[in-house]
Amino acid sequence: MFSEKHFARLVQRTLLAGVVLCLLLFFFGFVLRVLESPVAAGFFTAGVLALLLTPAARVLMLIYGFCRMRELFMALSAFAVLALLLVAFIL
Amino acid sequence: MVPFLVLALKIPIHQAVAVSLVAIAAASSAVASVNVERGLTNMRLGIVFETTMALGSVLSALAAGFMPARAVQLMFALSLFPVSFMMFMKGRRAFVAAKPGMPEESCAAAGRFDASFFDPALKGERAYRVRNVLSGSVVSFFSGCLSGLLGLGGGIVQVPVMTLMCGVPMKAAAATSNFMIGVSAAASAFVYFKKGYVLPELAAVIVIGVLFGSFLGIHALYRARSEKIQMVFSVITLLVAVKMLMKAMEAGRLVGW
Repeated sequence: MFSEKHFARLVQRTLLAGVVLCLLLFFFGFVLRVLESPVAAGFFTAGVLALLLTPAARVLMLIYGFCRMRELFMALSAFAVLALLLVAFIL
Repeated sequence: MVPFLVLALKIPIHQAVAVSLVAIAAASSAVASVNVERGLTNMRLGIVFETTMALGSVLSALAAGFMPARAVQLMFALSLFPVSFMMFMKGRRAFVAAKPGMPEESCAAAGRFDASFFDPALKGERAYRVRNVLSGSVVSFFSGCLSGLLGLGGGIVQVPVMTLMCGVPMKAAAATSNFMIGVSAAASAFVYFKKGYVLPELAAVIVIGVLFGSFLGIHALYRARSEKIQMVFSVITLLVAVKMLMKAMEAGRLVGW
C-alpha cells in the first residue's frame, strides 16, 4: 500500500540523494583543486548540474506518487512543472 | 545571499543572482528533505503554487539578461520594504494558540489541500484549512518573477502569502515555501547557467556554507514559536532592504543623479 508516509519518504530520499551527490562532486573538485589538476573545474560544474537536476528528480517522484495515490489533478500540476523545467533546460 | 555577494564580495549582480539561485536550490532540497519527512510540508499546495511560480521565474530569468544592474538592485531593495512591514504586522497581532487537534477555521469548506502536522511547540497535532488557492497561485507567479530576476528564494513573498492569505500556520508555510522554491530557483538558475553567469567554484563554496547554515536553522525552526520567527524575519528583511537601497542609490550618485 502506497501511503502518505511512503510518499514523503520517497521524496525525502530523492532530495537527499541529489544533495549528497552534489557534495561528493564538490568534494572531489576541491581535492583535485589542491592537487592542481585541470579537471577540477569540471567537477564543480558537474556538482552544480547535479544540484539543479535534483528538484526535477523530485518533481518526477511527485508525479509518480500522485499517480499511485490517484490524485490526478496534482499529478497534472507536477507534470506542468516538469514541462517548465524542461523548457528552461532546452531554451 | 545576493546582498552579501554584491555588498561584501563585490560580485556583479547578475553573477551574484546566479550563484544565489544555485545555493537556494541546494538549501531548499536539503531542508525540504527533513520537512517532508516530518509532515510539515504541504506538498499538494506546494506543487500547485510551483506551477505558476516556476513559470514566473523562467520568464524573468530570460528577461534578466536585458536589465541593467542598477535597475535590478533598486527593484530588490524596494520590494523588501513592504514584505518586512507585512511580517512585522503579522507578528505583532496577539497569537491565539490553536488547540492541538482542532482546525483553525471551522467555517471554511474542507478542501483537498487541508493538512496537519505535529508541532513540538504546541505538543500536539495542528490541523489547518487552506483557502484562496487561486489568488495564491497568481501571487506565486510574481514571487517567481522576483526569484528569477533578483535571486531571492521567493520565500520572502511566499511565506507571508501563505500565512496571511491562505491560512497556513507559519511553520508549515515556511516548510512548504522551502519545498517549492527549490524548483523555481533551479529553473531560473538553469537559464543563468546556460548564459554562463554561474561561477562553479564560488557556487561550491557558497552551497556548502548555506547547507551548513540551513541544517542548523531547521532544528531551531521546528522547536521555536511561530510569532518569534516572524518578528526576527521581519527585522532581518528590513535591514537587508535598507542596505540594498543604500547601495542602489550610491551607484546612482556616482552617475550624477
